[in-house]
Amino acid sequence: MSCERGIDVGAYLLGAMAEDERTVFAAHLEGCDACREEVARLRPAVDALPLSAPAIAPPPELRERIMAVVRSEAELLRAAGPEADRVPAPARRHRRWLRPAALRPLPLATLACALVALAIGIAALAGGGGSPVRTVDASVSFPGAPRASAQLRLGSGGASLRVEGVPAPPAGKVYEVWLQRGTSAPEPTDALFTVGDRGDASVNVPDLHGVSKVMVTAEPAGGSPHPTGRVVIVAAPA
Amino acid sequence: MSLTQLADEDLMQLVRRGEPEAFELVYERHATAAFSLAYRMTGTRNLAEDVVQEAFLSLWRSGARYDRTRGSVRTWVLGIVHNRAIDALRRSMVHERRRADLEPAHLEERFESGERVDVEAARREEARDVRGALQSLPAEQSKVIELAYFGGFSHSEIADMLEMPIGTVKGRMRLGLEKLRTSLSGLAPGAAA
Repeated sequence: MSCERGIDVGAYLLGAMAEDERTVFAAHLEGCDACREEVARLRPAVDALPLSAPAIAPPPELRERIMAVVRSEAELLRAAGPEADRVPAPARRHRRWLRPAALRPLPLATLACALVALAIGIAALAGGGGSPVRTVDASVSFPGAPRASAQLRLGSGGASLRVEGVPAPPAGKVYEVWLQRGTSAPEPTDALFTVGDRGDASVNVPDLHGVSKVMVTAEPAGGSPHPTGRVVIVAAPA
Repeated sequence: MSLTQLADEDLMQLVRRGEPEAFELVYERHATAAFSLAYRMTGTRNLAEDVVQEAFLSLWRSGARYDRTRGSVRTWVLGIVHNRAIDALRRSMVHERRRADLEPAHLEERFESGERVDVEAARREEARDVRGALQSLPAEQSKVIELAYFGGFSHSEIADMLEMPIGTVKGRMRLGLEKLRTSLSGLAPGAAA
């Protein structure tokens, strides 16, 4: 081994380097034939290590959980048609169906405040009597949050989606509501939201006329014109 | 030709197109190996399930990143599981608890992967060979390899634990892998090329 960094090859292959050290060594490998060859030579030994673990079958429920997510995402991809991009792409800013004010991504804190105001507004409307409300329980898919729930509330004055116990969207993302009519591609909406400390939120959902499914995915802040995240909430308003 | 007759690499092309049936078959073929590795590393069922779920969903969403020229689907899957398990260990308190329990857990082995009997038999034999090769290493080399690969500890953490210089730890890792490679190279294909 002609390179003095060759001593690091084992630690690199075994995943025993800190993240920054690993990045530096990976960059070194780009320009060092000797270390690259050593990595290639010893890699089969590391690849064999998992075989030494005692074989334990996973529980059948795990497969069901994973397949439920996969099937729902596959369904959305099919519905989205050829424009669907399986690798999340940066959101396009110009969406003709958005009001100009909504074109700018809101900082999450602002968005949260707006949601609180929206929730208060909706609560006031509901509490004010008048329009009858029908609720539809939605299916949710948050593997790490067994208490997550969502409800679609339908009234004469419009519809809203209420969620509880839902984890915050990943950093830099917001939840986006999509509407699907029949078999056509899901339509994006300007109903973007994040959740409060208890995982709760309420957001107005646009016109549900002819809508067969209301869906929610996590999308880049500002929203996306095409779904890129997996479906985490699905409700059938009909 | 039915999906079950396709090789993993061909199934991955279908996964890339978003076909859940192909993905389910990839899961069936590799879930036991993935769960076994995750369980061996995390030592708890719940965490192992989380790791396997994250890993397979990541595989589903990033199937396009699989490159058959860089190894088998199984190696790729297990690589993802290994990385996710290290992340999970470093995030969780389990790592602290396992610090005091460095020996491999004693577990009842179960093969329920739905693989054909001959494939299972070959895997058992492969597993026995790799375990044998690991056990034949000098204890100080197998220790650092197990702590790093299965324990998710960094070389500096291992150096602290074993009270030895980092350079010694790195040297033992490299030497141990070298010997492992030599012992496995004469065995069945798949163990080490």
